[in-house]
Amino acid sequence: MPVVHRRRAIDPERNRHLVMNTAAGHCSSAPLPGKRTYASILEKGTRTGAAALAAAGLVFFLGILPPRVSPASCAAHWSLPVSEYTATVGVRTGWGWLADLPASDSLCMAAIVLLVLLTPAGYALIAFTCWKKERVFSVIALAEIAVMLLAASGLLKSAH
Amino acid sequence: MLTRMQPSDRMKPDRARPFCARPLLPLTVAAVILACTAAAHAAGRPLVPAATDAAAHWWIWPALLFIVTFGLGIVSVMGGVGGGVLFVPIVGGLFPIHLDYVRAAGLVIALAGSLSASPTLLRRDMASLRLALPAALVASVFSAAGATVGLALPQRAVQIALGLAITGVGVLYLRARSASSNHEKNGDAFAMALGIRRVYHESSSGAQVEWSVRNTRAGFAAFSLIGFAAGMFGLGAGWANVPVLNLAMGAPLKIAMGTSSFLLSVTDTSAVWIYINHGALLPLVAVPSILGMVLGAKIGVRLMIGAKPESVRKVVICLLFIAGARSILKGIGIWS
Repeated sequence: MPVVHRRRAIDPERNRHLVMNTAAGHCSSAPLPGKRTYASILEKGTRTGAAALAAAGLVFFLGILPPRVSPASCAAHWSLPVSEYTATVGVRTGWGWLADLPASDSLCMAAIVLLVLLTPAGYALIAFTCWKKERVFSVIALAEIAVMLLAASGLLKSAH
Repeated sequence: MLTRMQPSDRMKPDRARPFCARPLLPLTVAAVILACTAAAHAAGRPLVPAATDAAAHWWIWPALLFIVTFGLGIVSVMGGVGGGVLFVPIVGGLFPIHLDYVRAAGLVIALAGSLSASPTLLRRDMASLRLALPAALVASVFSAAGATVGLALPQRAVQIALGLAITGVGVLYLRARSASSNHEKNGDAFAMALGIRRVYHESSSGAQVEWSVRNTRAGFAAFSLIGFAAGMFGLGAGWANVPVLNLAMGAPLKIAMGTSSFLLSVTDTSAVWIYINHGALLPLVAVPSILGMVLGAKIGVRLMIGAKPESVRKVVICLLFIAGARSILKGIGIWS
């Protein structure tokens, strides 16, 4: 028996975000405020992060600055689970790499973290720009930032 | 109505130009490298010194990682799969690196790919923030949970589960050859409440396509499972996002692919933090892998125009099955 999808009439009062594209006769919701700025943040941030990662990688692999953990020591222990590895090589976990800047592997971490921070930055923008007209998405963005902060805080550590 | 989904249907980036008359040459090189590494490990005669001698010859590993990920970058773009889904099982199976670090690097690779694609997708309206934001919230909560659970489990258990998951992805690619063109126009009540109702310009036909989504709650529930698997195994999640968005929720294929790519940047961010906090992100693994994958993907995009999609697809499916089997065998201790 064929499935019949019932067409629902659009209630303009309940769907105030919908706008009529009169030229084509389509009904469409407006894009979320801040979408283009979000795209610009991602574009510029990704370029900067990629360039920083390549530069930090050169510093690390050419030995221009001393690392926290030497590549030789890292390669000798990377078959261990992470809890044993950190205990064996004596490296700090969490945000400990920040304290070891400008060690070359900490510079690599900084470049990667720059990339990882782009999404929370974009979400902060969405939370701000959507607050007046699209409150639901602003709340969703704030909830997402809370999840990311929780993950970044180190509170969700598992016993290996 | 179902239409065949081809990798050529996938979005092509700007300024993509063919520049090589023999597109399968790099594929062959990549396949040879992978096959040699696999064969050498299987024979107990590794191409590079064993892990115990790794300290003296450490530089070989990042060089090999760069070469392999460069090949994977080419294959993954041409085959229309995310980099992470090939990187984690292949590098985790062939290199003497603990899976914790491979999964962390896999997530950053998927994140980097998603971040570089998202600006174009957002500007061209191929990724819907209205659809992605709630889905990403669900997925990222569970990806953080998946990463935490994955780091708590013993490597063997994760290897076996990863092998099963990768084999499942291979089966999915083998069987899911259809994309629904019967996309939703009206949307369910939840979609309407979120204003998920857009029009996009289909460049191939020149038509304005009106779309919305159905089964929104069930779809968002599916993102919890996808997020968990993405965090636990360090895979991107495009392989699962696109079928859910397109087949289950009725989003047009291009919107599903664009939104899926954007979703990865959010889902993977939560999981990456968990790995970073545990100290599982090793620059020695991550940096050459990211750079190799990014460069490979750039070459792959250019080669894609002259390639035969079906051949590349077969290569990808073969790689998935080999990597899945290898992971399972390594997990149960038959082929360590």
